[in-house]
Amino acid sequence: MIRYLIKNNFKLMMRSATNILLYIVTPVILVALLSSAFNDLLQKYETNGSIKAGYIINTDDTDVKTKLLTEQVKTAANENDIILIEYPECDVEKKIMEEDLAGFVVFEKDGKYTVYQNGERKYEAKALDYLIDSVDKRIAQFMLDAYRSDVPPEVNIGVEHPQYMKPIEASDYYGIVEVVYFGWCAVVCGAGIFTAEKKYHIGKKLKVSGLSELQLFLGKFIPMLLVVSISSLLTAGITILLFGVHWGSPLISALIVVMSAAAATAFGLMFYNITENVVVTIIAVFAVVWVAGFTGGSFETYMLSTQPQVLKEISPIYHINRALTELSCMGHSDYTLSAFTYCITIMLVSASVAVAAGYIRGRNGE
Amino acid sequence: MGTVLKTKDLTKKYENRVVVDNLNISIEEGEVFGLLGPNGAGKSTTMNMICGIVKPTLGSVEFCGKDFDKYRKELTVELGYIPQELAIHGNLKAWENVELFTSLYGIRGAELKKRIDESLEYVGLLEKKNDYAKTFSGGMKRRLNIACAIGHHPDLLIFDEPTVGIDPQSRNFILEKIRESNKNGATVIYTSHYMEEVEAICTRIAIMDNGKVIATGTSEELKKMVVDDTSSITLEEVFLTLTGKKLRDY
Repeated sequence: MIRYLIKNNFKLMMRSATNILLYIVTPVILVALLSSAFNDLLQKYETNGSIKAGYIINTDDTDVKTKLLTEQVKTAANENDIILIEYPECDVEKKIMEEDLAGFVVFEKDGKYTVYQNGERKYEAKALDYLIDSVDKRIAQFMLDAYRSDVPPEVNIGVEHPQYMKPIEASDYYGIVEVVYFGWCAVVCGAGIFTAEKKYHIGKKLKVSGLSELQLFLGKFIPMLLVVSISSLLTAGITILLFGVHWGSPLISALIVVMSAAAATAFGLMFYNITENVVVTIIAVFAVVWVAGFTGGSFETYMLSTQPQVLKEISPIYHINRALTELSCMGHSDYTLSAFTYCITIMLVSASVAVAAGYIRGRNGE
Repeated sequence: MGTVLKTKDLTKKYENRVVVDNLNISIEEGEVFGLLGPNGAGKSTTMNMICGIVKPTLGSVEFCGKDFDKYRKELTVELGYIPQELAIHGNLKAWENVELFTSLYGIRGAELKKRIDESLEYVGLLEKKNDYAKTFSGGMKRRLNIACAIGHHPDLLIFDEPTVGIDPQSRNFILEKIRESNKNGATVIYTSHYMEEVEAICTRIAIMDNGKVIATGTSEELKKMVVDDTSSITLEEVFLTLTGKKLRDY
């Protein structure tokens, strides 16, 4: 019943010059600008050889958690050209300056730790922080798996090659993250239809035909998703041809991009169904997406950003960016699953709220 | 001939304001029923409740003897709604607009193609089927608006001021088509502010004011409510006598 509604809404969106400008032309221009602007920064980051950092352990030998973390961090550091030097009790900040260390890790009780970073060696310090964070996460996951399967934990958890910061070219990084970011602005591609439905009372006629709220939602969601996905994949193709962007694991990457577009589309439609105001929807969605992109590495590379890790982890764009970036430079990513989980959750929750909002509005006779 | 549409104590309240107040009208098969009223009388809200766009606060709409709210899926296919606004997409071609709205009633494939051509031919736009609606004149858009509502062959056509802002030729064409649809068996509900149009095509007229029907009958019957010599009065004068000359600023 809604096949032709989907088809014609799709045609309407594809015929809009604004959509082509927003989803294809603008990201390509931004990729060119940002990759050229940040090329030096990422190259500097790449060329750093071994990193020197210090650590102290502020707990006793009976603290199993801290002991496990320390051992695994040392192994991972050794395998990744990070020289970790143990120091006795000392003034950390003074020690960093005296020894020209990239950073300093203070391991505390119950597996807690603090990473001090040398502002003069920002990129190396970030690498250290990134490595310890990766190891800590793997240990937490290992503990959880062991608890669930009732298997006693093994001491060696196998952080063999965390490949925490394999160099990535600026064109690859921005070629990937800008496609994701613009995909999150999916609501714009439906704006023309929202406006026409309201201005010309087309929505009224759709309601007369007896379409359910779910059908009305799908009538917009599917064509918007198709347009954003096709545009994003087309942009990715153009940036591959123009700037030689490398996407790792094409199938998984394409799937992440499509799921990201699905989450973004449902999220935008949810705002529209609640507010029924195109301008308010676009402003609200852009604000949320900008914040998520800011903390998620859409503008400043997430590896070098000074945002607290907890803020980054909240942003769905961070999970998507990180999964795609790591797939590009490492061929695999621990963030693939969380990227999918985030996207599917946002899509389902937003879709449910959007349909419920439409239903409540209809029931109230608005 | 049976009753096609019946409203029972139909009421709509917005906060404390009663827009439609216990409306009871009954429309017989084959009628062209005119609904007149000043601005804010409750005509559009009544139309919206009949079409299922707005839920009544109280009362119900019966369509072909069945409760419209209860049997909406089944009954909606018998309803063709031509809104006052040009409910068409400018960036779609004429045939795509008709396809979009006709397909919503479960018509597809070869039958859909046939209905698209049929509807466009009916409103004299078949030759322009591949043109974008945004390139059409006001009159052509009005005709396309009608084509979009008749493709599924509804039994009841609801026209909400379909001749606003168009030239006399287009208006005449639309009125002719309404008469033709009626001759072909469709029941019509028609609202307009143009009294001569209503008088020309409607077999029965209801005048609404303040959410209530204040008079119903044929044009002659309405005139007789005001004067004995019906040739000395127009429908507009009857309307003004019954609803008053006070401006309605809604």
